[in-house]
Amino acid sequence: MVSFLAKRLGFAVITLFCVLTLVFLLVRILPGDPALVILGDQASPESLMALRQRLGLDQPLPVQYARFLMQSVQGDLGRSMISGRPVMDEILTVLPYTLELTMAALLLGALLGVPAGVWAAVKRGRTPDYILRFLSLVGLSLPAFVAAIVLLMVFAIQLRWFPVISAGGANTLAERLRQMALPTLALALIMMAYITRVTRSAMLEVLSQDFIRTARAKGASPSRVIWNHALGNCLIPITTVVGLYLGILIGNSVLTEIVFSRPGLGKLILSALTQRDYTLLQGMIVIYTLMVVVVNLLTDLTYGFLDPRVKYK
Amino acid sequence: MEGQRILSVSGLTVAFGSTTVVHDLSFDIASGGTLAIVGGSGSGKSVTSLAIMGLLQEGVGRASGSIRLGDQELLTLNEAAMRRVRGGKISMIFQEPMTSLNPVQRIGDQIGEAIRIHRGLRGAALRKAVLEMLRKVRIPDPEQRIDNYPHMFSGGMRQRVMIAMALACDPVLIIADEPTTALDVTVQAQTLQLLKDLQRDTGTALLLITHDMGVVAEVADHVLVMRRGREIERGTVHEVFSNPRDGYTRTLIEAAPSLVGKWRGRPAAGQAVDVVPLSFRGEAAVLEVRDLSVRFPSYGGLLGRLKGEVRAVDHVSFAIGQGETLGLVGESGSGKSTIGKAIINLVPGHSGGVTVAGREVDYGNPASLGALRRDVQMIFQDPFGSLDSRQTIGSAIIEPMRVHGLASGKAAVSRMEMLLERVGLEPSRAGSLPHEFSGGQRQRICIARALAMSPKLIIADEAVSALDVAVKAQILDLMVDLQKEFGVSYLFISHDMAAIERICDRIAVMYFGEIVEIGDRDDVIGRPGHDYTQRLLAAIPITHPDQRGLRPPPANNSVPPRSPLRPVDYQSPPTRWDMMAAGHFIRRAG
Repeated sequence: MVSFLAKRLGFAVITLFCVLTLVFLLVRILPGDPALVILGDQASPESLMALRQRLGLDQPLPVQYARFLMQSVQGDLGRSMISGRPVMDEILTVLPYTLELTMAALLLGALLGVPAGVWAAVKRGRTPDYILRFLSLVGLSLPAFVAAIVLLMVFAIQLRWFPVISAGGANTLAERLRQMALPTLALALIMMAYITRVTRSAMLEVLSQDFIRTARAKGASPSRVIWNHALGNCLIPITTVVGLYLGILIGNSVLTEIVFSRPGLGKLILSALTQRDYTLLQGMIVIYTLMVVVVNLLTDLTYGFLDPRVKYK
Repeated sequence: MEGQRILSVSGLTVAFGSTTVVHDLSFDIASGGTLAIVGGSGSGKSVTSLAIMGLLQEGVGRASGSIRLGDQELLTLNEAAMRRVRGGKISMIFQEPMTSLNPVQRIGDQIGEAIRIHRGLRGAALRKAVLEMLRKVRIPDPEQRIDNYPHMFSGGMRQRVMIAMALACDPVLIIADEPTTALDVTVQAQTLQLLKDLQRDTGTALLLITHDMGVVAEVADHVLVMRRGREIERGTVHEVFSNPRDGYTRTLIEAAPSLVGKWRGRPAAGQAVDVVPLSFRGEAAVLEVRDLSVRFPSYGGLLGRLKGEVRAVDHVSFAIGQGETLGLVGESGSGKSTIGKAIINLVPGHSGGVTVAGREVDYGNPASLGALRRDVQMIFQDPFGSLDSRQTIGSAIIEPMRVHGLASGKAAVSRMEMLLERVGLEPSRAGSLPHEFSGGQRQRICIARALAMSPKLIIADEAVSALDVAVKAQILDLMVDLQKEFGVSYLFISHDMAAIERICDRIAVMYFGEIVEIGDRDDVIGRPGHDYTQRLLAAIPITHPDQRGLRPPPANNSVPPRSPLRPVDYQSPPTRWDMMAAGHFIRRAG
């Protein structure tokens, strides 16, 4: 277990190192002089030079690279070229909003998707199965921002059940939940569609196995067979999918946040892109990578809890 | 012995869609009695047992007729009432102990589930009841094992867990569907003994579903033989074995190993020798294996350091003459299959010398490997998995000829057609795909494919183990005929003593990676010298119920399992052998 953890952490460090290197190079390859971008066309050569010096852009590449790595390891991702605030601070201010949204969407998706998948598998080839399979296909094909816009138009603008802008000014928990409902639902639809489909197929496979017959031969009721014996054996594939799509979910949250005017990494990355805030951008890529790596590690560790046969080496 | 009628089935017919798989079947079982339903695959025997349990797939299989348990009609019972019967009054033991237990639940919970459902026990009382069941089925260390998961048990121990689960609620009837088919023969003997003992103690009736007449001879009082969904013969076990009326029944009975059990006594003390000469029959050796070892490194600890090595095969030497068949027999994990794979370079890390047709094989040299792959062909156990499902069988047979440049174009096609004919298949079916053939026919195709290369040696790894008894006999006869015709030698790897006895000239017995006894078939089976060989042969089921009680009951775990894991620098002690007769050697203990 310990050696497994050490090994996986080692891999995580290597992955992050590669991403840091890639980000460093990408930003240097991009056309345009950051100093020129920051100060604009009218800036004097002296002020440009001064800025380059301040940003360390006058140093040779290997020196810049070494300094970049050293600072990143210490959690210093540099300063935003636009606001001048540390990138880490910028990200940490909005990160909770994104995490909150993703986690809520994940939870909702699993709570709806797992039972839906189980139901579809049990009713295989009958009406509920067809309906659920159709709905999950729709969920998969519908881009998150389209779902977000449709939800916004129907529930916020037409019906006025939920606020149009879903951030800020919420004092009570109820108000906060009301604000989060629509963006969460928009994201959860995709998650639910994925989870429904993978649960259904895993469930179908497990239900045809010998130990299910054993459980039925024991006199166990159908609900016991399904929830106790079958579902326990489906959790590994479900966890794998959840782990894999959590990354996609984080990506989808960008557009959802923009549609609902919610603060979060999505809005931050959009403004970094439009304003060519290279340092902020590279910091965000590093943070996204870090999240994906952590999610994968957690997924691997979860396997051990779900299946006693899994051994960490 | 015969008590009141427990189960009576009359006019049972089971249909899947428009196909009827069981026709008008009737039988009774009395309390304390054992009825064996015998038949090959597709005979409808397992479907019958599922129909009794009410486990036919809803909406797919339909049973009609009458199944009465005591005075209760089961076929008309609703699902909720049927659940009280299942596991409570009738319980079932399935064939595959590896897949019949839920892999993510502790075995204690799985046994406890039946007790909780039917006897309503909870908490400490439940745990106590489960422990008592584990003791009853003689699982060592029940207090520890109760919290273990199925993958921590061997096949035999898992089947004990299944039996504990079946017995947990004092059922009046136990249905055992091929309960020992997946087990090693020594484990089978222990499991059958356990079932017999438990049945005697509890007076439960037993419905045994099997294809193995040996198992029937050991435990049944009544026999019902089924074929293609119909009863073809029934009677008491003595009647059926002594006077089988139907030809199919006779085939089943004759499939049992005939030499086994006819002991010609212990051999006289042998003559000590240090080195076993490579003996073989005939003029020249086709295969010589000298000091073959296969070791798999085993890693462990914090940094994954080399902890030791598993000696899957340890210093094995033997030879096979031209046109000779050597049987390699042993239980699962004995390393017998690994030897076959090592010879054709399918496992890494083998050492020792292999000579094929007088040429030493250099496993690092592509030319030498190419020659090896021409001269040595392999037939595997699973005729379904060893053919590409999207390649026509004709192309599967031609492919190796083309790859090795032996024949091409018309010559290859005509050779392929000749081979199909030789193995008993119509050459006109060359364009068919594997799924259009039965298991036995596919094995014939695999044999034709192996013969396409005109090999000197064919390694048959459990080649007939997946086949029905009657088909098995046909394939073995075919192999013998082809051997006469083509002069090919066989290394016949199997755990099936009946098949080994039928086809082999000489036999080598494997135990934990080592050969413990080698010699002529009649010597090894008739005068086994090594303890393990004797135990192995004693565990083979009897061939006639009259032989019951003549043999000592199998020892229960008398020999602790050996671990094949050895430290890296472990030196095997020098082996000492006794020569019992010409070419018959046994390994000395210690």
